[in-house]
Amino acid sequence: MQLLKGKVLLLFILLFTVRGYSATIKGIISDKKTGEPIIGAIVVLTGTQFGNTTGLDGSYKISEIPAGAYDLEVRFVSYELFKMHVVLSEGQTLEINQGISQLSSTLNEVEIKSKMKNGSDEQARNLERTSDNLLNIISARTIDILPDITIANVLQRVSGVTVQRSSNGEARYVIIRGMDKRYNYTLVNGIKIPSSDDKMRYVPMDIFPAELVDRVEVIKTITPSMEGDAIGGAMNLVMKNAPDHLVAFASAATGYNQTLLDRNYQGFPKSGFNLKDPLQQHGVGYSAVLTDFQRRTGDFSSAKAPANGLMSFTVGDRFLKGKKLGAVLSGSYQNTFKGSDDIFFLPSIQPSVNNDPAITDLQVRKYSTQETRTGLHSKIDYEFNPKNSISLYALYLQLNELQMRDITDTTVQINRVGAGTGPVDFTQRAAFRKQAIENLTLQGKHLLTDNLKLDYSLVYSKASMDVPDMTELHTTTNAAIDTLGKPIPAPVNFKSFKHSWEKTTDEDHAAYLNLTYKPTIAGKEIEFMAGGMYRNKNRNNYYNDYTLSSATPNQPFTSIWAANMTVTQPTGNTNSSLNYAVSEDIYAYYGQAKIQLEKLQVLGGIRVENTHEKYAMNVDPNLVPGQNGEFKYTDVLPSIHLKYSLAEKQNLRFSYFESISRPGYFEIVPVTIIGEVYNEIGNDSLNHSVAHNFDLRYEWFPKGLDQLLVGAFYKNITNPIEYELVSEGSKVSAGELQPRNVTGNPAINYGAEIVATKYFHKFGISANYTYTNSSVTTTKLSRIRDTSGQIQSVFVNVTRPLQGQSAHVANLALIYKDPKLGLDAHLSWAYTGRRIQFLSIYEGLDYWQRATSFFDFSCEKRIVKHLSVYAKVNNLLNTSVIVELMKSKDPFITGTYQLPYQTLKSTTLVEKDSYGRNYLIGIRYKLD
Amino acid sequence: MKQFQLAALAILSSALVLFSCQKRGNDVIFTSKPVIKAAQGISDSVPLCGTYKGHMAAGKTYTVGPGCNIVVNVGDTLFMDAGVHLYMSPASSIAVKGSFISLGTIDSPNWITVNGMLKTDNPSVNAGSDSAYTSKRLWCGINCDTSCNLLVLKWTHIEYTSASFTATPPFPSLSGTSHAILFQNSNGSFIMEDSWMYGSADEVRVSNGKVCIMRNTIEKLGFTGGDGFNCKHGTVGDIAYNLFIGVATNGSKASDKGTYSGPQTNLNMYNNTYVNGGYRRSSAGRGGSLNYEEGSKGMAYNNIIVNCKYGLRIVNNPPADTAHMKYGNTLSYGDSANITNQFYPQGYITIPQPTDIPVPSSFLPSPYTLGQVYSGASVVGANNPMFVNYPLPATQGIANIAYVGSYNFRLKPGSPALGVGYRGFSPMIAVPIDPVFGATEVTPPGKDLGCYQSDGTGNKH
Repeated sequence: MQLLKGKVLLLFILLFTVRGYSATIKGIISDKKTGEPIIGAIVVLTGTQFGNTTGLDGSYKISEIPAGAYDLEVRFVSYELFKMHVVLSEGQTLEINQGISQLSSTLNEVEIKSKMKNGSDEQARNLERTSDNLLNIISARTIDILPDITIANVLQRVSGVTVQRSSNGEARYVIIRGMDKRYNYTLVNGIKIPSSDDKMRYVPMDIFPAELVDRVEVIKTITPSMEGDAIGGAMNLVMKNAPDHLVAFASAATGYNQTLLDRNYQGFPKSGFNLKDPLQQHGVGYSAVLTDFQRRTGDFSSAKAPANGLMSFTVGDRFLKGKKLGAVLSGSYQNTFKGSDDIFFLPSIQPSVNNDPAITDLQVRKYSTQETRTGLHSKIDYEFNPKNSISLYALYLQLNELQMRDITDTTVQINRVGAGTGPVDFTQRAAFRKQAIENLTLQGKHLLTDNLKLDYSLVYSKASMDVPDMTELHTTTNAAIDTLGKPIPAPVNFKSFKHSWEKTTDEDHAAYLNLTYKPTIAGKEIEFMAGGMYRNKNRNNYYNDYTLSSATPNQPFTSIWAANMTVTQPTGNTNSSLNYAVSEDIYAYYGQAKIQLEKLQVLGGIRVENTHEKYAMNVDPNLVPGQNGEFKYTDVLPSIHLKYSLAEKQNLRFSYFESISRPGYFEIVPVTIIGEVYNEIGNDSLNHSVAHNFDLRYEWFPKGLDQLLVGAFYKNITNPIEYELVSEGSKVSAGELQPRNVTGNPAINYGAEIVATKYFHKFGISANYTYTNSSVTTTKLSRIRDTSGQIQSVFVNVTRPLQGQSAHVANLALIYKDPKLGLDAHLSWAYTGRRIQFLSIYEGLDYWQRATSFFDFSCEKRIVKHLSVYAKVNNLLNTSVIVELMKSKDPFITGTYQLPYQTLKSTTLVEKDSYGRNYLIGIRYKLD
Repeated sequence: MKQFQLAALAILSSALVLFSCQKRGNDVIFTSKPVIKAAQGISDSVPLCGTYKGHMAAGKTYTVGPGCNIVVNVGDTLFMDAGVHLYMSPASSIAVKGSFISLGTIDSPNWITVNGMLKTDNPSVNAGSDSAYTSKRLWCGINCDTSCNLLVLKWTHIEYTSASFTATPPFPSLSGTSHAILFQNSNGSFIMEDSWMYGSADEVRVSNGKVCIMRNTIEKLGFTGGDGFNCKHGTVGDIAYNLFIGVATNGSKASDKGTYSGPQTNLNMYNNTYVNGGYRRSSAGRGGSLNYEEGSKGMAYNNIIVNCKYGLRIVNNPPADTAHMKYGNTLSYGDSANITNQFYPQGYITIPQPTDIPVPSSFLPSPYTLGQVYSGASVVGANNPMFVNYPLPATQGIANIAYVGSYNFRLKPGSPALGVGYRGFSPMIAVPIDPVFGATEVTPPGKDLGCYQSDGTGNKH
């Protein structure tokens, strides 16, 4: 940390130290009409080598010019050439601020907007300023130079956004303003995408390769024309559009993960997975035998990982007479290998009296993961005439994950006579997860009359997740010592080799229709919008498993090939697991009006959403209560959005909107399934959450890409959903985890955020900070000794922040851009304050993730025209994620139950995830 | 213009107030409910399958069809009168939502078993090829729902249980494989007297309930895991005068882990004889005789532990309710140092009692820290309890002697277990006393250690 501060300081000094002799010319080049600074304009003294390009704030500086007379020229594509004669004397600093004009003076403002390059920062800032919603946008150009290769990683750069990581350290889920992933939704080009999760609605954001998007929008306020089930916000991925001239990008890169430089990659053959389980192969009722199962995924190999390979391309152009037909095709392929090493202390499900924590196991987990991410999208649009156009959009995303999880588990509550002793279990899990998202959208836009517009979308989307034949090899031994403290050799015994199959498919058919009518009433242009949508969803989840367990007790393990096994449940295990189907119909309609009253823009309206959902479990309805069920509800969601123009480039915004969040698909199914720690049961009396959301934001876009946004928000959420351990009302007396509406006081979430970006010629600084405060009161258990001396678990009300919410979230980026040298550099810092990582059902035993700071660096240098090289380094400081239990570590540092890795000052360390640095070096070709 | 703005704002804000105060109902319209079939009359002429109540008549033989469940509805009672044979088919089960009462007698015991199974009671046969655990003909056990008030098993043989479910079970299951017996109502009573269990892939689970488990003989319970009686939070009562031989893990275990309704687990375990326990559990260190853990309490006296993998374990993480634990007068015997080193299992907090045999001070180091590694070499083979017919030191592999067969675990005259029992406490008697609807006899602590008393009381098998 100290070292880094030093480096940053040095960078500052280098950037701001200017040697001074002879004359200097400096100034700002801007658009004559709009006053917007122009980035990348060339300012030269003709006939000399003196010149420069304008920086991010439109500024330029040419120094060390010998005294004399010169002709100064300012050149920029599609702008008129500007010429001026200057005379410089020794030591003089001449300031020339010049506006230059577009070549065609007939362009109106709307067209100037459309001239903004798609995917540019300028376009992003402009959209943020002119949008009806409260938005934060990251442009494709920024993504290019960000160190991130997936959208999930990109999203963490947005103010108020934090991410939850997968086991290999890859950002996966998104928390917006402290609101859990369940409260947010994901759009592609404004169309909602289904989820491949087996129970929930949210979409894993690491399936999206970063290169495919034109921009990423985080939408924090919802207007009536948008779907109403976002309380945190919505993420809209706007994919690349057909450009108006030939555009071609391509890039290729390779890289390595530090963890896998330090240790071997553990792998297994992909062909060792049976894609179908014995029931799927032979039919229901089939009694499986040993030969139905492969053993190859239990035979692991260890070797150096191959290098990563990443490729992407985009081509687009417009064709035919009048360029009526536009087409764009983008592809991305990322094949990456990652290693991560974690330490995890498994808490006892139930603590000791007074909620003193008890730890049952120490797990050392080593992950070796190969991720193959393929993305392809294309859009074809045809413009019949300026009033009528249609487009067809297709997207296919696939994420294949081959993962080996190697756990060495030492039971610390059993037979432990000091450090390094106890029963030891080894579990080696091989998984092949295939996720895919497909989307096909036909869109039409028709200007029916001068002020009546119709647009529609017909959508087919499918998300799927297939985890065929996941295997887990379980062996066990004992680390005991004799009276002299010497280890007693113990054999490694074979326990089991479990195979499981899971498949989720979620298919949407949807239609959207919008009508926009812009009459002029009393001299004011009013925009009326009305429309509706209908979506039919069908999803299915299949799960089955078989345990091949040791055919004899205490069987010594040599290899999986020699293991003597029996199939314990030959007919499979489809009864008490996730086998269910859901159908959902949502139809919604809305009306909204927008009027500009001098400086005040008012947008208000109402959206009505009808939800009709049915589910059925794959069990006998006469044996299992709640085998099928039906849910229906209607929401009327009003909203109002005010935008007041304080000055030319300053807005004050106020929004109120009501929004909802629907329970996850499995959360309403009141049937018990067997979980890893607790069994789980859905809740048919669960109601959807409803929130009243208030937002206030001040915006200032002083010039160029500079911006200052200061805002505050307040959310009042009734029926938020939290998990509690229950036994009454359910049937299994051991207790089950159940999602429940928090009744009584609604959950409150409020906060403030600030976003500031400022460029100083070639140097830029971009920062955001969000403060969030949420509270929700739920019942937890407390283990006490009552007055009669009985130990009891009693209910207590506990107020806490929402799970995953950090009070402080900040991002800081230092940007260096030299258009002349073609050099871009980006140093970014993402700070996520402490937050609840794992909720305990007992008071005071939540696992808290400590604040994390991740530093990433990336740079890009043009080598010849259109061609540049780039490098990205993730996790510069090799930061680990540390999770702590807010209880004294004293019971765990000495004596029989001493635990290793207790490096924290006073609290107990319970998890440490180390992902290592990631290096990437690549080459990019760009024609635009 | 200002007025226009104000008007627009007023309209919008009133709409806002109007709609934001809307009342919402419940989202759910309906969820399906099982159709409850009324109980049928019971007959021995056709295989049983479905819902029953009433009596299985004395001396008759009944058969349950393959994969069939016998369901006892809430409020109904199904009786097995004396001398009934109930033959179970593969993957069949008994599901009790009401009450189930089996009234065998010493002369006419009842049998719930698999017809024609041959016992493999041979020390040279490994458990992996023993039909008691691995037969494809195992059935799915007696499973009581949370509504079951009463389960009574008197003089009843229960054999070959814990098959895995092949279809949706008609009761909430805790896992994909069944338990030998599952009881889960903290207000209900589970009485098992003078009965036998033989062969099971898994354990008896008392998730909560009032129990009286007395004078039973438990053989070959649990294949590669499972305790004899695994009692979780909300279980109170007595486990006494039982002979446990060759249980996969513990013979009897008390834990206060689990649900929060019902009382703290409080179990008296006294005058039990534990032989050759704990050897089929694949994972190390899970116990082999009796066990108190996670906030449970009770009294454990007068037990004999012979050649079990571990002695009495009082677990520390999370700890048993040690302030309310009393124990002593335990006779431990081991053929090898591996066994005697674990009389006071290493890594736990069992306090050696001066009333124990062997006397702790005779072989433990001084000072002794609870749970420390010590050498029990000096007491190998000491304090032979002198069973009537069971050789000690054992002449064959103890792990495979998981049956009684022709052995006799009564005590010979001169046994160190005679006359040293502690009788200064009373049974808890958590269940009703009744010849039909409760326990027939609750035997108080005996003057001899173990389940067989020299005065003829205790275990009558």
